[in-house]
Amino acid sequence: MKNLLEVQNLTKKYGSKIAVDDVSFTLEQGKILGLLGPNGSGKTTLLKVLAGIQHPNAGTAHILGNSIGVETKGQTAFLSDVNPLFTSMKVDDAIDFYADFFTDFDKVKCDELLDFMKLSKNHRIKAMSKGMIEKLNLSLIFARRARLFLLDEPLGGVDPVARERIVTTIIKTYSEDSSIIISSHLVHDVENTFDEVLMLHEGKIILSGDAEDLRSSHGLSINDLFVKTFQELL
Amino acid sequence: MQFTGSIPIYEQIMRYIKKEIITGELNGEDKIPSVRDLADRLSVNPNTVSRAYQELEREGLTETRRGMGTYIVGDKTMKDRIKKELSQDLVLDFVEEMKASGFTAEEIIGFVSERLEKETL
Amino acid sequence: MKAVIRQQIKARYKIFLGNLILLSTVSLSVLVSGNANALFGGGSRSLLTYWLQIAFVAIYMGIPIYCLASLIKLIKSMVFQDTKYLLLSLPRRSYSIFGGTFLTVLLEFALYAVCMFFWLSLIAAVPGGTKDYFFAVLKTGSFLGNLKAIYYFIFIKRFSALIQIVTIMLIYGTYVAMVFNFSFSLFAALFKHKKFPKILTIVFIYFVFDISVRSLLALSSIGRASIWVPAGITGLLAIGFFVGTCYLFEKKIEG
Repeated sequence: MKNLLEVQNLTKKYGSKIAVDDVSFTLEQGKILGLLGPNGSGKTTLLKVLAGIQHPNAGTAHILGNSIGVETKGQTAFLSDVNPLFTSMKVDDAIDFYADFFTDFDKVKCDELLDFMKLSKNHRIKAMSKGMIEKLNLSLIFARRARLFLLDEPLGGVDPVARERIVTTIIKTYSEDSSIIISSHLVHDVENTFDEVLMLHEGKIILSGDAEDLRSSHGLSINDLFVKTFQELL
Repeated sequence: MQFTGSIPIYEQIMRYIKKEIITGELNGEDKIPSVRDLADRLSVNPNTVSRAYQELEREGLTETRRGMGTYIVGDKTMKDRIKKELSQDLVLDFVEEMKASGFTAEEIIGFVSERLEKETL
Repeated sequence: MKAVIRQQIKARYKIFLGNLILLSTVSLSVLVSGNANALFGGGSRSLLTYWLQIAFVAIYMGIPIYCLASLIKLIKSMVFQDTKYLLLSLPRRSYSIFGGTFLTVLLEFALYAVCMFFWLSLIAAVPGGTKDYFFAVLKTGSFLGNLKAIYYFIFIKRFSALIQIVTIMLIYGTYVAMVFNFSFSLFAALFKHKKFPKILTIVFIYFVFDISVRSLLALSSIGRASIWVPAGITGLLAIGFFVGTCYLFEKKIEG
């Protein structure tokens, strides 16, 4: 299987603080990677660098052979953990915006997702609850036929029923042509979707591997393995 | 279907299908859901389902027919074979758990007999 | 760039229409209330006149400021607000985002200018008023006569002057906008992960304009009467600042 993403010695600093420290890994096409770690471990920063929103201080990252730039932005869909939409927009304004800028946006799929998430198109974003806005942003992202999906805490702030819907959506969106990186604290809810796992601590990779192999070699769920690993560290 | 996190998911899927074969829910020549279908239904990664299917095929329990899907192999001895394997796995897990909880071999046999007697009443 | 322009128009057209209505309402009030001549001084000053003068100046000066603020608002939304996660992830080059926004705001301003010109011409055409003001010779005729004379004067007699004035205003207006854009971008890039230095930026902008005006005056006093030399240089500088802003956004600024 082809490598969709190749990260080599990637480093990102904020002033003197090192957020991502010499990180290297690859992700094959058609795989889902769980990016785990406590707050401040560098997960969000890593995702932002891959999305092209932050520039690395050292190292490289290539998506389908291209270094991060305008072209990869067209192939990457980034779900931030805060709402990036203009609050003055209505749902259908946001859809129109996405359709205008992303050629891989599928309006039909978007309608299906909004339906599944029980969101109406006429709603003003200003008037929507946090959970509804997250579901909207998720629907917009997954309506794109992106090659690499970067999800930063997709389950944060939503109720358990919504979480289940989101996990279902992730599975349904999965395609052999694309890859997904999911960073989440709610490991238990989403670990069944992982092919591979990467655990970060203070910007460095401390554990990585195939999810199923990790389960059989440690005899623990990924969630429990996460707890065990970080309990020993902190 | 609820999954335990500590055992590889693909193994649990395989066990589930084997159970279905034993109980007769799935028989020879029956078609099992496509990888995508089952993944959606169980909310697991399609690659995991794929791996389970590959292993089942390797063990000779299923076969994939081009363009048609995956089918249970219609073999009578197979059912008995799985039954035996599964029973061994279940017993192994059970005995290990009981022993870890501090029960002796005699106690274990006693409890099992007691339980089965109750059920026949 | 098409998508940028389309989305900006969509986001701005409601306020645009609102501004046009406001502009027209204030201007119409001036005309209808008989304050056309009192507007620019001279004649009786009633309370109504006073308030109309304030409203008039506010709107006519406010609109160009609003247009300039719109460009800064874009930078704000790309650097300081959560919308940066959306805007910086778009598969578009900075020149497309800035250029598209600039063109939209420019078009919008052009429409405001046309509207303002229309109302000002009507106000100027009202007979009477101080002979020293504007086309004093016209003020003696009838309203329609004055109006015809104004339009003739501007669009036929001095048409080339009109074109020149419009072009010069376009160049200098763009220059002002680009100085603001570049300054905000520069300091956003320099103070990446720290607090944005608003005062420093304003001071910087002041100095840039200070130098610009001094150079302009110095150039004009060098014998040659041509206004095109400083205008040309200003135009080039505007382009330079635009390119600078785009470069900063591509390479240095992050979300």
